[in-house]
Amino acid sequence: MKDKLLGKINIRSIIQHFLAAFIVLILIFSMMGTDITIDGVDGEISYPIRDADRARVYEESYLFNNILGNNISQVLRLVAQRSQLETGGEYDGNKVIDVTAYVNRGSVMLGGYITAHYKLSDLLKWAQNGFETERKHMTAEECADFLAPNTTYTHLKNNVVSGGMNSYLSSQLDDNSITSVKEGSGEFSEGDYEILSSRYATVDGKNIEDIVSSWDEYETLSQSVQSASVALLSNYTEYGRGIEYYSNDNSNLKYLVTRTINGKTEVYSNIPNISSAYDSNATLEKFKSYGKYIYYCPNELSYETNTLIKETVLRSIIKNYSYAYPDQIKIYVGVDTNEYKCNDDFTQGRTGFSRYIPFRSQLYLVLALFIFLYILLLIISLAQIPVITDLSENRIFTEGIVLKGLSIIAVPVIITYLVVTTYTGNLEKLYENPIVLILTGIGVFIADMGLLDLIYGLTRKGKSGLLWKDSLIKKMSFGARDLVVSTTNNASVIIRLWIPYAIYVVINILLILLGIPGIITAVILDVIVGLLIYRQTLDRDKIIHVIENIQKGDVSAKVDTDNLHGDNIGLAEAVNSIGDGIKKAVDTSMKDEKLKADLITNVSHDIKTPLTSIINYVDLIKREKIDNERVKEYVDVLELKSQKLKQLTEDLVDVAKITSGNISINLQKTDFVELVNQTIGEFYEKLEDNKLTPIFKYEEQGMSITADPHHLWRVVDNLLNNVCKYALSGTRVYMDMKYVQGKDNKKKVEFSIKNISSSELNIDVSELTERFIRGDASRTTEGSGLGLSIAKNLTVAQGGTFEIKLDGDLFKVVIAFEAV
Amino acid sequence: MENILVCDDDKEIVDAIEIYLEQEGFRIYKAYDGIEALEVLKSAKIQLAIVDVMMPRMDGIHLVRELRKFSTIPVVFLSAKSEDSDKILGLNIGADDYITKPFNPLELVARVKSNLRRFMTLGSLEDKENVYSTGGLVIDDNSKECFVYGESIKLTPIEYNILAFLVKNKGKVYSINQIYEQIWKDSAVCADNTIAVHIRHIREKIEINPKDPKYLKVVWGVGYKIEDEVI
Repeated sequence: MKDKLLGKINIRSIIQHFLAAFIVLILIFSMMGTDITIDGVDGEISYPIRDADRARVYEESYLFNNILGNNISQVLRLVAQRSQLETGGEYDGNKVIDVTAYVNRGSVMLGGYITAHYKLSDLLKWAQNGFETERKHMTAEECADFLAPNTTYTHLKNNVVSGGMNSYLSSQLDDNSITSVKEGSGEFSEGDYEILSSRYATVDGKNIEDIVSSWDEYETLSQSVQSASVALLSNYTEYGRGIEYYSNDNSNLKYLVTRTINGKTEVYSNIPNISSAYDSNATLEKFKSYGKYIYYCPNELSYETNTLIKETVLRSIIKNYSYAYPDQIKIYVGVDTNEYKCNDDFTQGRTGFSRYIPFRSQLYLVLALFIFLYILLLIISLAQIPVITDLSENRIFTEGIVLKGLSIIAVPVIITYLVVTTYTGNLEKLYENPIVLILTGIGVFIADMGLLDLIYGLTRKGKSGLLWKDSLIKKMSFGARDLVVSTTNNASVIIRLWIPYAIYVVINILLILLGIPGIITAVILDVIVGLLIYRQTLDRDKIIHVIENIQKGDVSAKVDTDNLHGDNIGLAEAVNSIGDGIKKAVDTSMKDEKLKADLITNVSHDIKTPLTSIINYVDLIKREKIDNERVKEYVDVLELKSQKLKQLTEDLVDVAKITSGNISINLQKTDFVELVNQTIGEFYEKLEDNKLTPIFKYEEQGMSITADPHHLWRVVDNLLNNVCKYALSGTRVYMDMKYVQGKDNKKKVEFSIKNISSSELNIDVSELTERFIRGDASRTTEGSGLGLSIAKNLTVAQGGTFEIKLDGDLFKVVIAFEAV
Repeated sequence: MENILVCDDDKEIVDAIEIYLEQEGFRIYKAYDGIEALEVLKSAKIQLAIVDVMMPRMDGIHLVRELRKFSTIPVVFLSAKSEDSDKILGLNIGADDYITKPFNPLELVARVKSNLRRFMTLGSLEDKENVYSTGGLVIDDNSKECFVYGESIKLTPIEYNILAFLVKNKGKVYSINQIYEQIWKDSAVCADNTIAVHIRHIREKIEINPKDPKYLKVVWGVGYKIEDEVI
């Protein structure tokens, strides 16, 4: 059953892992799909795909037009470069470059200017090899000798600055320049001069110093030569790539640019064999046949296109290369959307576009469905996780589950991180690789395994209520706590109390040092600690109150543990259980006493009946005439002992009743003096018989106490009986009654009775009031030995105190009651 | 010659009581439980019954209840139970006297006689001037004599004066000093136990059991009194 269930979960988990992998892949798709990276001529360019494109075909999309716009820009740049480097549509190394006009190709030059004409190939080589300069010290004569005596100026015959023409274009016209010579000043000063090594000469075979007559002019022309060379070299490099990239074989983009300067038309195109057979209308028709086309002629103000590219876009591009594009140009651009023969930007764009866009909404639907399914499976699995019932089995720590899950998740995450951080190329491109996608899927699969393992493991623990119980933190913290407790339990109060207090004070001081926020925190902390201490004290008070009640005798008093906190609950429970224990003990002992009393009473009754017969028949024997004196003696012993037995049983019942609390006590105001006098009266003969003289002294008449008169009489009666039995014959018995101040500052009446014992008092005071203990250990004399015990118990039962004092043969009993 | 029923489940006690009472000239009927006793009471003319409380078949309490339905003869309870509550219960259900075991044979005989005399002479006491009485105790102030159920008691003059004063004011409690002032017509400088000794002497003369007095009672811590209503 368990295995089956686990099997189910496993299959379900595998499904979940797959779902997770798909979800992540779809997310990557949808994220990556928003950008298409195309490897253009200038390197990779990322194109965003707009939502508006979703409803369009590729050729109508913004994406397509973005690509087109970029490509047009590139092509027009290429054409501008071609115009610099080509003659008749081919690279011409012999092309003559007017360096000053070239350097200033963006602006108009008026009047004459100093320039030098070099072969294009010479300039390019010069730039490639680098310019060498030499610092030379020259005297004035040497300077005059080095530089030309005259400066050669070049003038453009036809320097057209209208119709999009400029000085640069004019300079390129054949036979459009004349030179004039202006005499230099011839004044030179001796000094150090920077001389450019003349690697190449101009087309006329001249060097720079042959053209200029001053150092300033030399400097300017030298700079122009260097600048022109570097710029041309840069363009030449780019030009090579552009020609290749936008060749007819490599690009679906076709272009044709014509430019007419002074009636002479140049054609720049990537379509082979079209230059010679150029015809305006035929060309336009041809470009239209490509699918997407643009035709632009600034001079005719005509702009024609079936793309989204606007004229302004084209115009702004042309403006960047205005030196190359006069008004008399015609630009034809077409994209062969019929075949996409070449793997260029457009083809890449189409691939990207077709890969993502058409399924995007469906993709989202699938994504939502997968997520729903995943969550559904998760919920079902969570619901079906069994509770751990066998607590004896070895369980791993909660942290172990977390660690296991996290480490499984970590593997793909770390790999992904490493790949992402180390891979320098475009990540979107990376994801176009199917192997990467599969690897990603596997990674997510593994990560999901770890995640589900973690979730299910924790849920299982949580359901079984073991989440915290099984945690290592708990075990460690409890261990630490136990350690602290075990060490502090044995530690002195100083360690237990003063160290936390010292830490508290230090925290306070530190907080106060932190300034206003610290002080506020300290105040809040102090208030909280104060409230906690207050709560603690309240709890303690409750417990102490109950302890006091128990002490007073209310053993059923209980602490209500509901409103207590922390350690006090344990303390309260301990107090409650102590109370319970005492109550139980008291109840048991009371029950036992009652049972004992009942037992003694019942036994006494059972003794009394046969005793009646004994007493009666002994009496009857005595009434018979007995001649034998010894028999008479024996009968006397029998009579004496049977009477003693009678007394003993009665005393026993009394003691049992008193000690078990089975007597009723009616307290009332009692004249103690009167009572003692009455009792002495009762004992008068008996005392006289024993040759004892009672002497009773009292402070005043009517010294009254609160007592039960009948019981009080029993006390005094027993004391006097005791005196009669044990006092030394012929002595006086002193009785005193006086007021005393009790320990609790209450006025008391104290009655003492003292006599000289006839026999040695070889006994402990406390034993005298114990049952069956008498002053003499022999127990031969009359009396049950219960007299003092009864007297003491009765006195205490009435709220008095009973004390026996022995001093040699002096026997003294002191009883005291609260005075009225 | 009066007929007396002695009923106790202890045969020896019954026999002993029989011996004592026959010596005094009574005729004894014996029974050993409540049922037997009831039969005897119904069949013979019994003047007094001595009944044990705890007996098999029918106990003393039930027996007395049954007896009181047809007879008013004095009943003396005999019991090992010495608690006050036991005594009160016995007297309340109709017993006339209560003797606890083990008893003094002489006391038993005296009580039997006293109860019989009370029963026989009930209502025959004449009201005379200067004659005061409570229960069987009579003080004749004319002759300065004292009687208990007609038996003359010899008292000293002081004893007579004390007893006469208390009987004349029966039911009232007098302290030692008050009695002293009454008798000696002098203020008591300091009370001592003289009166208490006299009281004890009186009690020994008029009471059957001085330790359990019927007439002259001690109110401990207050004084002494003559019981107003003596059973």
